[in-house]
Amino acid sequence: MVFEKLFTFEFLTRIAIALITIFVFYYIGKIIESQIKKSRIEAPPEIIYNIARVTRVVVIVIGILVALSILEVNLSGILVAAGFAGLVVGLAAQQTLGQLFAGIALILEGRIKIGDSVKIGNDWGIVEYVGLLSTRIRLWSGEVLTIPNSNVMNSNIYNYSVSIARRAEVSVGISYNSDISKAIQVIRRVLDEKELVLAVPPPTIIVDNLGDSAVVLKVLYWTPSQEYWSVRREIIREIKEALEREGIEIPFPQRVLWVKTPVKIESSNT
Amino acid sequence: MLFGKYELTDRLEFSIPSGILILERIGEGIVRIRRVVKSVESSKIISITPGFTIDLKAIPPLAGSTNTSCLYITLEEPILLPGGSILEYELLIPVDLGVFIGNSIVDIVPLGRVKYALYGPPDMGDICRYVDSGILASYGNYIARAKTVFKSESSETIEISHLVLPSKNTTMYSTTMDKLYFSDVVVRVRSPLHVEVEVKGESTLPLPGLLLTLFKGAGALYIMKHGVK
Repeated sequence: MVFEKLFTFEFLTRIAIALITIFVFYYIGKIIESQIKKSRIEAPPEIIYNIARVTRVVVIVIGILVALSILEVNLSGILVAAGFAGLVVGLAAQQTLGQLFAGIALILEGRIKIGDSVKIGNDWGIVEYVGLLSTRIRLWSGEVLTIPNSNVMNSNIYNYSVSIARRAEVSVGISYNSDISKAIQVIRRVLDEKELVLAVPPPTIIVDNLGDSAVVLKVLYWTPSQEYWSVRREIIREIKEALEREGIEIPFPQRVLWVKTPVKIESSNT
Repeated sequence: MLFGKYELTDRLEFSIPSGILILERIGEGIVRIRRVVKSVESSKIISITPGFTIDLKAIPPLAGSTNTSCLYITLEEPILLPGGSILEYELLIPVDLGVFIGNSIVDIVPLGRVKYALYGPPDMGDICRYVDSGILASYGNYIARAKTVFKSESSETIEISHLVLPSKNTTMYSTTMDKLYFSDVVVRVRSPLHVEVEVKGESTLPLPGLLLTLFKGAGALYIMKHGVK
């Protein structure tokens, strides 16, 4: 009897209409999502992407609610149940919700954006995606790393794209016999001739340490952030070449042994 | 001076303070621009419509491997500007070479040494082309003069040791006496941390034997918020 009542033609029609409604709302959601993604809104891509996704979810939820009303389901009861369910789900999915709120905070704060060069914890790469639950970075080695947003928020984040210029440090060891002033002059000339070593703030060269085998000079200079590695590579090579040209020795580790009592060395030929 | 219009039949070679500039026709409507600076060669190929001439113009310092829109000038001697005073000064601006085909610029060649400076903190400042007496010396005669007026709108005496001016949308002139001029610059000093540097669209200097306006801009403004000392 119940089955007969349940599967009347009218009810089956309602189910069909409800399913079509969900289907239509699902597609409307997808269309709106793709339109938002394609729009020329002046906002960072991660914000646009997440707004588009949330909009799609909202449209689908509205579709489900409309479908339920077509089936004459009492929505107020469902909403009360959803409230309790939300509480239970909230307790069960604390971690996921934590990631969600971390994601929202990350996007609103704008600490990292798509395309930024970042170091999150010990991982270094380019941000490819900032979602509500996770962040994806392409490591310099080419692998893609997905980090839960709560971990991102709890890590130290170095964003190298925020600054237009970065200070580089290079240590150069010269032998104890070398003229320190001359070495500084040679290094300064190399830095002056390099286009991408900034003139302001001026480069600094200091005697940093009297090491075991060398007098260590520390070279500090500023360069545009995007050129940091290429300039550093060239500077190290050019400093070595310039010091060699000027006869300033870059020593390798060495140890001087003082023998307290003279040692008699016998030749094998005698 | 190497500025002017050139018809490229086969090959043109120019000696510039930073090296050599070579323009050579390598095919029908195809031109190669070669630069040799400190025995390092770089080149690019451009397509030109038959009948077009190549125009070499003096342009504000915009060349280099980093795109900039400002010029950081370290003054040879600091200027002490008493409150409410007006001072007239002549700024020296290095000139770059713009290679034009028709109205479009196809290459910018530095005529001397290129260096950059960071004005302001690294996360809020600007990277500008840098100019000091050492840099100017590498440009030989390719230096433009700019009439500069400092107007103090402050009550205190302010020391100015460097200026940052916009380098885009400025105007460059050449005279028959082979002299180059830059648009007028007005420096409004409101406080040590608010100095407005306006480059006008034109020069009001008497330009004896004005030959032509090499590069015309509408003028621009740069606000120095990170100090002038």
